[in-house]
Amino acid sequence: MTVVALACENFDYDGAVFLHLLSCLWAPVEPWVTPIRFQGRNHVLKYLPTFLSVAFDAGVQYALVAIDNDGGARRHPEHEPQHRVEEQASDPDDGCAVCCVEHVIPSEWREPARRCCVAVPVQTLETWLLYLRGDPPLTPSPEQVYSRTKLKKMFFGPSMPPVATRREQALLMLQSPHALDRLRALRSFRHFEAQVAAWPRPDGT
Amino acid sequence: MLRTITLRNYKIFGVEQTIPLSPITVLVGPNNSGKSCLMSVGEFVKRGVANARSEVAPYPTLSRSLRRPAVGDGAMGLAWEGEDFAYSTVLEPSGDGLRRRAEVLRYGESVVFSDDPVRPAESAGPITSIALSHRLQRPFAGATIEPRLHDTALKSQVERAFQSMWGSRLVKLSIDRLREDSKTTTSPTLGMDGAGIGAVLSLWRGFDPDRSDQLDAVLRECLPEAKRALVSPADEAERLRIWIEQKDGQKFAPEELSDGVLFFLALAMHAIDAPPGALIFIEEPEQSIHPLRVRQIVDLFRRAVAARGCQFVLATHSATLLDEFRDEPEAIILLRRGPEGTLVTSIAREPRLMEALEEHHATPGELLINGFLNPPS
Ligand SMILES: [Zn+2]
Repeated sequence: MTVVALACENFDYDGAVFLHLLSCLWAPVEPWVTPIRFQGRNHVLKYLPTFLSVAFDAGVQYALVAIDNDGGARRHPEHEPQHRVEEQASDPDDGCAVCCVEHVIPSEWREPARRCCVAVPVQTLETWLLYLRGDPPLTPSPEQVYSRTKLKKMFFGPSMPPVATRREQALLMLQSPHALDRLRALRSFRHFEAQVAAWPRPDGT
Repeated sequence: MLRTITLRNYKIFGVEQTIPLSPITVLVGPNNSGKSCLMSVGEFVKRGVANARSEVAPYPTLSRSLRRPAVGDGAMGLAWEGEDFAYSTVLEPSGDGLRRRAEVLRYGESVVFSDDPVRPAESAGPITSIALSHRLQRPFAGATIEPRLHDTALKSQVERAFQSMWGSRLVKLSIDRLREDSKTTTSPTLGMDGAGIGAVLSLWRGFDPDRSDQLDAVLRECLPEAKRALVSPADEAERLRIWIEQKDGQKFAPEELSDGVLFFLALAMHAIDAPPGALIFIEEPEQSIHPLRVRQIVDLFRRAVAARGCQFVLATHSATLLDEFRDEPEAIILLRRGPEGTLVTSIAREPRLMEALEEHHATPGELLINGFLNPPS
C-alpha cells in the first residue's frame, strides 16, 4: 500500500475519511504514522512546511492536506483555476484557502517525484457529508452555511459524539450508493478529485 | 442530563449566576475564580442539602459554604434544571448553621412539590423535604420512608430530578494516592483522589468483565506499549496492587509507572465507572498527561456521554483540552471574580471571542494561551 502523509484537522476522523476517498479514487493507501497533529487552519498554514519536510526526510512521496475554511468561506473565495497564489496568500485571513496552502508547500514537494494535494471541502468536511445526506433538502445548502460549528452540529447533533462514531457516520455516508458521483456536483470535490487523478499511480499508470 | 446549575451565596459565588451545562462542560478561569466552588456542588448537595431540613438542629458545617458577607437577602440559593424539570432550594442562616427555607420541584408548568413560605399557594403536599425524603429512600440510610413517596409516579419524578446530583462525583486525583496499594474491602469504590483503584480493578476482574475489557481496550488503544491492567495482592496484608502489563509481557508496578500513565488509568476507570446519568466533576484532567493523550481522555468522556448519558464538568488550564471543544463554544464556560462574587459566561455569549473563532481562525486554546479567556477582573 502507498503511504500518504495526512495533514488534516482530526487524524482519526477527517484523516480516515480522506484515506477512504483516496482508496476509492486512486489506489489503496495507508497513513504515514506520525504523532504530529493539527488544530485549525492557522495551525496548518504555520506548521505545514515543517510537517512536509519531516515527511520528506522519512521518504514519504505522497501527501494530502485537508483543511477546513473554518466557516470563513463567506469571505474566502472558493478556489478558481485562475487564482494567483501569491495574491490570495498575501491575505492569510481572507485569501482562498487552497492558494494559502499551496503557498506554504516547500519546494521539495513540488517536484514530480513528490506530490502534495490540497482538499478544502468549501467549509468543513461536513459540507460534503450534509450534501450527501441531503434529506430533507437543506436550505440554505451546506455550502452556504458559513459557521463551522453549525455545520458540525447539523451533521452530528448538538454534542460531538466520540471520534469512532463520527468516523463511522461519515464513512457510512460515503459508502452510500453513488456517493462519489453525487459529490462530483460540488466544485470543491471536483477540484480535489482532479488533483488525485493527476497523481501517477503506484503501478506506474 | 442537567441543562443549568444556578448558585447564589454559595462559597465565593454571590449574586445569582446560572451556569449553562453541556454534555461535557469545560470551566476556564484564573485561580480563585470559582471553578472549584462550582465543582463542589454535587458533594454539597449529597452531604449538605439533604441534612438542612427545618425540623432538626441545623448542621454547623453547612454554614461554611455560605458566602460571607452574603449578598441580597443573605440566603444561599441552589437550583438545577433538566430537560423537563427544575429543582430549587433556598438555605438560610439559622444559629450556627443553615436550614431550608424553601424547596420547589416542577416538571414543566406543573409543581410536583413545593414548600415555599413566600409562595405558599403553590404548596403541593406534606412531604417535609424532597431531598431528605429521597435520601431516606437510599438503602443504606435505613430510616423511615416518607408516606407520599409510596406514590410511585412522584417517586420516579423525584429520583429523576436528583439522579445527576446523587450520582455525582468529584475527581481530584493525587499521584500519591494512585501509587498506594488499595485496601481490600467488600464494596470498593473509586476515590475522588484515585485511592482504591486496585480494589475496584480487582472487583471488575472478578465480577464485571465488561468493565475490565473496556479498560484493557482503552489502554491498548491509547498507550502504545500497554496490553492490560492487572491486580495482585500487595506485600502488605489486605492490600491490592495494580500493574500494567506490556505487550512484551513486562509488568510495571505503580512506582515504576509515570505519573501520566497512572493519571490516564484513573481517568479511564472513572469514565468507565460513571453511573448512568451521573454528573462527574473533574479537576484538571490534563495533569501530567501528554497533550496528544488529552484528546483521547476527552474522547473517553464522550463515549460515557453517548453510552450512559453521563455528564462531565472539567476544570482546565489546558489549551489542547479546550481545542477539543472548538465546535462547541457554548460548552466553554468562563469564570471570573467580581466584587459580588463569581461571574459566569460562555464563549458563545461573547461576541468578540466568537468573532476571533469564526472570522479569524483562532482556536479556544490559542485564546486561553494568549490571555483572552482570563480578562483581568
Ligand atoms: Zn485559490
